[in-house]
Amino acid sequence: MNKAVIRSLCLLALIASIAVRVQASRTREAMMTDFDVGAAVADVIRQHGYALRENPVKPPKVLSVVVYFQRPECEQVSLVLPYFINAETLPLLARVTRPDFERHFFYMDGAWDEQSRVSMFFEWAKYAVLDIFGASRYVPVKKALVLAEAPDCHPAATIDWRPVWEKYRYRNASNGAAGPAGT
Amino acid sequence: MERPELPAAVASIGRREAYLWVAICLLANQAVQLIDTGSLQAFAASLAAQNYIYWLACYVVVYRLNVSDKAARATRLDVCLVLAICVLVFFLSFLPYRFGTGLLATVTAFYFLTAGGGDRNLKAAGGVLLALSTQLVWGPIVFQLFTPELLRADAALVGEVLASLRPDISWQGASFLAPGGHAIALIGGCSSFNNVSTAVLACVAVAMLIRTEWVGRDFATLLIACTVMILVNTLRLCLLAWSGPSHDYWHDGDGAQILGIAQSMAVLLIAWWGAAPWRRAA
Repeated sequence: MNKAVIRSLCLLALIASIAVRVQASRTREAMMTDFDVGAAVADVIRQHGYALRENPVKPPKVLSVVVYFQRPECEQVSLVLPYFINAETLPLLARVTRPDFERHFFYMDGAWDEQSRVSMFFEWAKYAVLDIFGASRYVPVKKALVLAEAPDCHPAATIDWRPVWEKYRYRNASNGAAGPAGT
Repeated sequence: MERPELPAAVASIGRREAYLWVAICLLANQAVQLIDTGSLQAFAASLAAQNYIYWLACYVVVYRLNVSDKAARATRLDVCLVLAICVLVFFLSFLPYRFGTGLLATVTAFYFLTAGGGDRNLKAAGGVLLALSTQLVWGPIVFQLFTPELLRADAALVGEVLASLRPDISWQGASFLAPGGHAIALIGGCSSFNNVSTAVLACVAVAMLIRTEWVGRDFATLLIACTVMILVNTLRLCLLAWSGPSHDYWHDGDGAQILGIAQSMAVLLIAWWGAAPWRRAA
């Protein structure tokens, strides 16, 4: 093969790949910046008609991310702790709950009674791959939720946490933010 | 002067140049993911926060490829692979994760290690590229799967040190609680795994910068560098758990920079000391 052709192809691949990658990184960064897991959790709780309770711990403390809410059928408040899927969350959770509290873990389509890091990692990988083709309904962030409730709390309705990661929330939020300029 | 006819299996481009194109494509794509190009300020901030050992390793890869056999011509297989990797680099650039480029860097590293024949510079470049892809891709994957276990190991070391120096600090799992109400919980960024990974890269890069072959002593150097990194990180975590003001200084104040520079200098000095030619002569 001609030397000039090989050089041109390599140079083209270099320039094109960098241009595409810069754009892809910016898009991903914007998506991650828009993703506010605390606000998303609070929205989902409100949508289910439950009242939010104030978290006494304030930033920059780690436990300031806990979202408290009150189910009418339960005496004690329930709480949701967002955490990175590879982090060990139980010691943190132990600081805001009693040992007998029931725990349930949620991440995108999955729900577990125990922290399942490997399953969550594969769940993330699945949606990260789908996201390349624009086929993921979720934002592929590595934030999972753990819900902790008192043992005597038997809620009448379960909460669907999947909207926390759903992309339409963030698209709507972005459109909403840009909305007033058009009116 | 009449030019000799090239054999059918040999392309017109030199092997050194072909491999340099691949390496530059891979390293440039990795670099884009490490630098924030959002604004000039963000760009400057991301430059200041760079791991310069990573950039040293990139330099070593390019340097070793550049001093490899200039007379060797690329075979058709070389050219096909180089073009295939460049095309794959382009397609993987749509993927905003490090994994794709890292996987290609690993494949390329193995190719450099095996296809170089007797060219030791190519093998050295392959070794450093392999260490680079391990640090950027494979290490983080292992870390993600074993974060709690690795943090517990770090916490155990810190707990043992504090038990003798500050028995009033209680330790549970990966959390430490000082008497005044000051508490810290170790998270991913606190782990010495990251420091160990950097130490491995530094030892490989410096050794392959100075020479092109491995000696038995390199493994001892690697072991010393990793041990020092773990000890320095343990010291840092002890200082963070000590008290609130100590945490502020060593985590968010000047202390963080002092420790960062000290760690980089220590690992580079150990790597250089282990790889220095005068030590081989001795």
